[in-house]
Amino acid sequence: MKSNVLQFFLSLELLLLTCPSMAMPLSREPIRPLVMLKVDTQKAALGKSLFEDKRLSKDDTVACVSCHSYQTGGVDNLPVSTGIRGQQGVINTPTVFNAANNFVQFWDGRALNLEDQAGHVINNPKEFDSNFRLIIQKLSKDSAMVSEFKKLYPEGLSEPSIRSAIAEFERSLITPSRFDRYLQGDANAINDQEKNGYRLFKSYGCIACHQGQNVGGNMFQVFGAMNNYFADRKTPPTDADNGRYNVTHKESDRHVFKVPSLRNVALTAPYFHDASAATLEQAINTMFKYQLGRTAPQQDKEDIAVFLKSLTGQHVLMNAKRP
Amino acid sequence: MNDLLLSTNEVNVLSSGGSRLTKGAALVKQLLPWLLLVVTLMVMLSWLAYKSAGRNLGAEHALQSQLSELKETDAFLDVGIYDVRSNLDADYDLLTVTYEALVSQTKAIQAQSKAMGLKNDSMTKLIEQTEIKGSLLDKFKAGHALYRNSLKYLPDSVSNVRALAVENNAPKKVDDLARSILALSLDYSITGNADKAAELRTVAANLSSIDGLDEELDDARRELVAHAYSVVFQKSAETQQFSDFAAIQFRAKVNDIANEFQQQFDIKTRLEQLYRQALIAFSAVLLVVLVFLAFRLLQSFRLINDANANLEKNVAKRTIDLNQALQQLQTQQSQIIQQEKMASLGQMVAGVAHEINTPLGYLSSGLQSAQASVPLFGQLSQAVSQMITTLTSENASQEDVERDISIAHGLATIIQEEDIVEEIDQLLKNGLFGVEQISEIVANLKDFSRLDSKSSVLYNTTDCIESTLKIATNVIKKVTIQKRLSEVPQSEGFPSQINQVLLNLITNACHATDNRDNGIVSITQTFDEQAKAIKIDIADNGTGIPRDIVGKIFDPFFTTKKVGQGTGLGLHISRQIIEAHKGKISVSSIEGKGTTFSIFLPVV
Repeated sequence: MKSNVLQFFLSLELLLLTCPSMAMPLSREPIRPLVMLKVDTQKAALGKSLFEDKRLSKDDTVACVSCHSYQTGGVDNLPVSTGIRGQQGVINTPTVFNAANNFVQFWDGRALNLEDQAGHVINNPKEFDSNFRLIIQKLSKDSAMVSEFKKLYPEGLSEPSIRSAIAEFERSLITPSRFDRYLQGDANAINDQEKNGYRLFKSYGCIACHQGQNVGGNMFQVFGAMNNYFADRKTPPTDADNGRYNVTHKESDRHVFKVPSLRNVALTAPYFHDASAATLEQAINTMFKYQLGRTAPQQDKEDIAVFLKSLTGQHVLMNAKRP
Repeated sequence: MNDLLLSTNEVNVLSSGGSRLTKGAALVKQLLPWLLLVVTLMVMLSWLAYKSAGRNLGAEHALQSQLSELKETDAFLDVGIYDVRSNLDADYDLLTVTYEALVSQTKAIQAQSKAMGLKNDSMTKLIEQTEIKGSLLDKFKAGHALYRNSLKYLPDSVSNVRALAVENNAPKKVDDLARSILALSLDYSITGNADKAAELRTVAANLSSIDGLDEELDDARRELVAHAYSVVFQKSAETQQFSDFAAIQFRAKVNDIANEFQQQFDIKTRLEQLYRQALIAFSAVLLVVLVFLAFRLLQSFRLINDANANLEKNVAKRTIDLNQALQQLQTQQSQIIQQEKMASLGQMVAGVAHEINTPLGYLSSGLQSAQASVPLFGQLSQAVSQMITTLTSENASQEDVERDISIAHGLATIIQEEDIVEEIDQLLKNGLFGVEQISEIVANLKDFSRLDSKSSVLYNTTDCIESTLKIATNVIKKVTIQKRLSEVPQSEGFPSQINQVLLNLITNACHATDNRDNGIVSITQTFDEQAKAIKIDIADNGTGIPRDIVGKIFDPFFTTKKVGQGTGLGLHISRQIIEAHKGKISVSSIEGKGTTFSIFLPVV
């Protein structure tokens, strides 16, 4: 672990020493450029086919991609998603893009990694309402699938190998953006308004939670830190509003949620676990009031919104034609 | 006596020959306990060797270095936490990644120690500690984000309130309290002094309790108070979190675990040392045993060398002994063959005597009859002599002449009238025939029992058959003999011995048909050109030999006859004789139908 960190800094140092002509990366920024994850491409390809495979749901009607569509920022742009038999979900669907960089999965962090996350969706009666036994039973009849698993995993088609393949695919869903190029030293990658927006993002304190490589996704935070969000909200409270309390059953975890990544945030409306903000501007207003506990001029908020749009990344699947 | 000697010798020879088959099994039986002992010793030795050297020290070192690495990671995490605490612009990625490493390393050590069979209850507790640390870390990250924002914003918020207060002619208290909030919050954030926290709370409460403020100022004040509370709350929470962090004593616990593992390793090492000592002791014992065995082996070698040195002498001596034994054996064997022959002859004697008795009888009676005529010829000779004397005498009277002539005439008339001369002639002829017959029998006997056979001679088996049939006349007279004898070349050997075999087989054949009216014994002699061998079949239509004993009939002392009637050696000796002539003898028999003995004899 330590050696990895050391290596990272050493390589950074080496880069700085050996390439003086190269653009200098911005140092000591609280947001760090995206790094592609090491991915087994064959397993990822198998994972992609599983991600799009409706046989993972009980009645073969829903696939992962049904709600995590590549073309719409890895979400379905709906307040809640629709599971099998037309059932409505209880919480806004987070994006699958860059999910690999989140420290835990789901709004309440009940899954520690992507492998774990897939199982929660599969077993959720409102989502896939299935189980691995049933899925393996179905997939066993698909000789191409079985032989692909046999090729890539010593144990062949199994619960761990299904989880692993899906997670491997999701680790390939990293979306570097213009802002990353800016962080890497390309001063012209973002315009002045966007730069100003970034400055404001930091100075207003958004950065306190939305930091790191994923601009969020590495901590929990209580929703309504400076003002009582749920008291002000017009809609009745739901189980989902309890957030991490549902996992830990500690009072201190009530209304605590994972801070979502802001990468591709411009694509993933509506916002928040309850989809209460339909637009990015509304979301920024809510954050200012309830998380920062302060006000800001309209122009500053607009600039911040412009900056946030520069976090929209690129991935080959984002432009792929819908099947 | 001889018989007895021979029989024991024979039995000895046979038993030693027959035991060769079971010799291997006996050897295995003898060696098995030793083999088991050797295997047991080997197993013990390798078990001890395994026990004393089977430990993977590399894995233990790896585990200890994993624990060291875990401590490093934890220290790195702590450094990261302190770094974040003192740096308001830090990101949490490094903390997150380091914490994940801490968890995965702890789990890896638990799995590894479990795999190594170590007691690892304390590892389970350590994992609980990482979870506690993790939730503390989550609280710290969230609280610190809010704390830093509030602390950063406070000066602006205070300025804002103060500016609005001036603008709205608000009471002086507002400005004072706002300034006091700034000073106290900065003080508290630096010192963490609990008194300052209480003071800050009081000041904030005082500020929020001021009534009648302009709406804009009211909002700004509420904002300031909220952030002031936030600073107090988050700072005190953070202080608590840090004392909780310190209470975890993660690295000290890792040290304890390392010691715990080391103790378990030490126990294993001590055990291994024990096993090693046992191994050494065991090896030493084995070595002593080996040396002893080597010594024994050397001794044996010396004995063998001595034996080798005397070998030739011994061999020469043994050879002489063996030769003597062989000679004795050969003598005994020829004696026994002779005996058997004598036994056969004995059976023959009665028949032969009878054969001779018949001609002897009429020879004797003829001679007696002839003897009875002798006085008559004496009287005639006397009468003729008296008559001649009378006739030549001077003073013979007619009367005397006539009397003497009539007496001689009377006697001659008797001889003529009674055909006495012819009778005597016939008697003598008969006598001569009897003598001839007797001499023929004697010649046959002589032929049959030539005992003076020192060297082999050329002979014809046809002669042997004929000669034997003559000798066996007495035996064969009850059966019909069918001879089919082809011309055959001469053989070389001892014809008297072949005669003995033939007599034995023919006698047996006749005895086999004893209870039948139409007993037939057929003797067939053929010549096999290809095999260059004479085949003589002696077949009877007698009782046959039961299947279960047909295999034993050539065995010595095997007989179906009553005690005293047969030696049980006849067929055994017959086989020996035929084999000595490089021939073969075989038998085929159907019970109730008859038996055929076949002799194969090579020709010259």
